[in-house]
Amino acid sequence: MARVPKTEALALPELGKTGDGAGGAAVRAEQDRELVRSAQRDDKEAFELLVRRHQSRVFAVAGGILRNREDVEDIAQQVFLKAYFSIKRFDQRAAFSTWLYKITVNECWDLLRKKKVRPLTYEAELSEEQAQMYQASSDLTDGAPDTSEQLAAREQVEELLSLLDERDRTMLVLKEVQGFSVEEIAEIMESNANTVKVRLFRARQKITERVRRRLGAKR
Amino acid sequence: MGNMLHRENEHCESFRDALEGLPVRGGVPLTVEDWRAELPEQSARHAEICEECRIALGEFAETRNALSAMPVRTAGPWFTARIMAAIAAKEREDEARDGVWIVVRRFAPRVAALSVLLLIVGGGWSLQQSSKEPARPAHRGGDMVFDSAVPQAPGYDDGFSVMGGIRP
Repeated sequence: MARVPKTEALALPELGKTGDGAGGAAVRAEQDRELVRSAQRDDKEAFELLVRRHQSRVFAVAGGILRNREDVEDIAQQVFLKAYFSIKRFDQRAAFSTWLYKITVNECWDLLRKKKVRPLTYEAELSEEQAQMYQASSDLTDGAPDTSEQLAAREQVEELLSLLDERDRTMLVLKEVQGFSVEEIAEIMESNANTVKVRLFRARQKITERVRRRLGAKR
Repeated sequence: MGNMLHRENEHCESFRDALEGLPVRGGVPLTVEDWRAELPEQSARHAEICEECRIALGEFAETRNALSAMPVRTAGPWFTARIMAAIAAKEREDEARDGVWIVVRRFAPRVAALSVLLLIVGGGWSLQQSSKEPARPAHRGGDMVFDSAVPQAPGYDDGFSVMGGIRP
C-alpha cells in the first residue's frame, strides 16, 4: 500500500493544516459553515464539496480504528450518508469536521461491537503466504505493495495498539497518527482535555513498556 | 518550598502542553533529541532539569516512532461519486416507500369528510325508515296494570264501567 507521508496528509486542503496556522483553520471552518448552510437548503453540490474536503480525514480516522480496508470504505460511506440525511438537524454549535469525525468514531465502534472483535487485535503471526494474500487484497486500490519489512512493521504497530482499550487506542491514533489536537480529540470523544492528556500519557507508558520489553528480548 | 513546588508543577504543565502541541512529522522516526529541539526553548531547558518530564519526552518519542509505521488509509478518486450515487439511490428508495403514505395523507381529510357525510346520511335514512313502520295495534287489555289481557265476552259487565258499553 502506498504510504502517504503524514506531512502531505496533513496538508490536504480540507484539513486546514497547511502551515497557515490558526488563521487558515478559521477560514476553512467558515467555508465549511457556509457549505453546511447551503447543504441544509438541499444544495447537493455544496454537500459534494464537503465530502471532497473531508473524505481523506474520515478515511484516515476510520483506518486508524479498523483494520480491514473494506470496513474502512463501508464505514466512510455510512458516515457521509448519515451526515447527509441528518445535516438539517446539525445546529453548527461545533465545527462540521468535529461532528463528522465524531460520527466516524461512533460508527467504527458500533461496527466493532457488532463484530465483537477488538480493534487491531493482534492475531497469530501470518504465514508468508497469508501475508501476501492480505497484501494483495489491499494492492487493488492502494497502489504499490508493501515490502515484507513494511508488513512486519505494520503488524508490530497493531500488536502495540492491541494493548490499549478502545477509547485509549482511538485517542492515541487520533493524536499520534492523525495529528488531531488534544482539544479536538476531547470534542470528538465527548471528554475533557485533561482526561485526554492523562489517557494519552498512560497509553504512551504502556506502549513504551512493551517496546522496551521487545527490544530487551531481542538482545 | 510550597511556592517552588507550585512553580515546578506549572513548568511541568507547560512542558506537557508544549509536548502535546508538537505536530506529527512524516513517517520518519525522530530521536528524543530531535523532538526536544522542536520544543520551545523554555520547555527544552525544563526537560534537562526535570526527570519526570524527561521520562515523558522519552515515552512520547518512542510512541511516535512506534506508530510511525502505521499506514494512513486514503480514499480512492471514485469515492465522492460513489457517495453522491448512494445518496440518490437512498432518496429514490425513500420516495418509493413513502409514496403510498403520501397518497393516504393527501386524501385523508377528504376521506374523513366523506365518511362523516355517509354516517349522517345513513343515520338519517335509518331513522326515516323506522318512522315509516306501521303503528302497533292497541292491546285489548293489558295496556294498564289492572286491565285483564283476556278479551271479555260481549255483554259482560264487570261492574267497573260507568256507562253501559263503555270500556276503557
